[in-house]
Amino acid sequence: MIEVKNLTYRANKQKVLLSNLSFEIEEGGFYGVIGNNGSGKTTLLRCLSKTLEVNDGTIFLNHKDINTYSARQLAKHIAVVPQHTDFLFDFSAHQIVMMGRSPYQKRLRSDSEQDLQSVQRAMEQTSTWHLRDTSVKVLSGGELQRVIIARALAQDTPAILLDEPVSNLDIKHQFEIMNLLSTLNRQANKTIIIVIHDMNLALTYTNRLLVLHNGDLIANAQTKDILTSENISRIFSIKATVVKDNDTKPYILFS
Amino acid sequence: MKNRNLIIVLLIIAVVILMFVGCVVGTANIGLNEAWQILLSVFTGSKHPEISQSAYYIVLNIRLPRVLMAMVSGAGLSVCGVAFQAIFRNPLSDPYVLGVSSGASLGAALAIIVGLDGVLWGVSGLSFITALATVLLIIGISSMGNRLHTTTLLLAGISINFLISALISLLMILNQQEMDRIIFWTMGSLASANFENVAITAFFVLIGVVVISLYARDLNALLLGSQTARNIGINVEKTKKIILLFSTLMIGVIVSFTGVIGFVGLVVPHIVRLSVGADNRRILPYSLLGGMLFMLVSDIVARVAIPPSELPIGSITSLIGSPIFIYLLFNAKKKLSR
Repeated sequence: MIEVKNLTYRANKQKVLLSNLSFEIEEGGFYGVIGNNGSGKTTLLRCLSKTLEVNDGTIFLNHKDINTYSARQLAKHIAVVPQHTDFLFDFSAHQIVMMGRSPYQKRLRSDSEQDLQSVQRAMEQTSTWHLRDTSVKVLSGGELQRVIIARALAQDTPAILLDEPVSNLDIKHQFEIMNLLSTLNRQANKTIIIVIHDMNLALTYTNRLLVLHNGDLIANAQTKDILTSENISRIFSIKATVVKDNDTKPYILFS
Repeated sequence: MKNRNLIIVLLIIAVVILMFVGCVVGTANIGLNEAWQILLSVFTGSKHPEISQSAYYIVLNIRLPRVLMAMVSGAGLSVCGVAFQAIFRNPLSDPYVLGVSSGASLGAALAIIVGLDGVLWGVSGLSFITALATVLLIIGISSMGNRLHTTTLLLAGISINFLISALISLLMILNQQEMDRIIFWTMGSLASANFENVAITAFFVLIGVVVISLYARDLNALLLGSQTARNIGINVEKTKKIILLFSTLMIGVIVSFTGVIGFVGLVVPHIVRLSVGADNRRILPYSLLGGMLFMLVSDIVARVAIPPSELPIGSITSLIGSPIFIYLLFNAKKKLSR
């Protein structure tokens, strides 16, 4: 679905943040992007969503250069859940989720029945429907994050990019959101690309990992092959043991 | 929904009543009934024999055009405020605060000095150009990478206001024979309104309001920040350029006829936002009518406050506007320190 060829991104055309990345994202995959702080994870997501313009190399979406897509066309293919969102203005949660429908809406037309249905479905899936009339200014961090995920769902795209979507959530909502993404991935065949810090969540949910280190793609393989005790120690300079019992799912112990 | 329509209707009724009041009050003593007969004569074409010619002249050629100018410029300034607040993603933005109105007034003053006031569109044209130059200058000063820094934006606006008032003072001293006319641009006044001015201003305000309304949904998305707006399918750069171009066009034309009238674009959208929320599709129609009301009231106050002299309308709007601006600034400070 997405093919990246020799992607290089330099901040202010000087400092190299991503260097010569090549990889492929297959439709229906659940991809994790891992790496230390400053390794280029967020930059990579921004390049994939055309928020940043790449300096060298090409990103293909469905075999077409991503630069040939208009913002509106691209928004029908890729939805983004950014790391931070600040709200200076008093929108209701429903209004925020409705904005996910923008690529389908025409000027001066009011929200269609389909828009309203998509928004309600997305808000129910993220358990935010009861917050629909609440101002986003008074929502808690976790509620806000779910509202923003709902907006991405309302966008109804084959792929969703998420930048650390569960870092601010309590454990219950972490699993809720990850389970939701997993369901969307399996049932609706949505491609998920998620920047994630929690190795155990990565191990449980993703089926492929891209590992970034100082702007280089140092690994791109199946999650179970990457998340081994040796690799985690090597990449993050921390001791870790991957425990594989017969009666539980594998998990990682840090020491 | 019913409630909202009702409020729109009430606002329209209030505008009509104030239009009438605006035609009645003033130094020349013309009674309610007389003013009514005179206004009716516009539609019937027949003049009442007992009403003097001068009363007809005052109501139809002096008061009516300035009332209409108050409405048109109020609507334009307040819609521009909505547009600026979305583009700069800052509830404190307004053409006056950011120095764009002053920029326009500098152009108007220059045009008079070099004698462009005889040329068609001369004053309006130059005031649009200098307003646009001010917008570009502010964006240049306050952008950091892709973002506009709020504090820098306001400081840039304030310093530009300083710079331009210095330049205008200089122009006045160097061109003492035109001093009165230039002062007019710095204080703001509706006194020179005539039907031709009103028609030209209304034309540009109408175009601007239509274009900005077409982009109301995009303006909502811009309030979430450029990156998010782009991710949900908005062509951010194009939208910003179009909105800035048309709102600056409105400012340029309005200022060239009324001078600098401050804070309308700040006060009205702010009050509207408190009652209808952040959705620009709702804010725009209310702000349009609210801007008309605000200017009609300010104009009436300016005329009746200290008879027989008339206060500059800009001083009235600033008296109301600056406390609200300070209040908003105070709120913004509280948010930053949290």
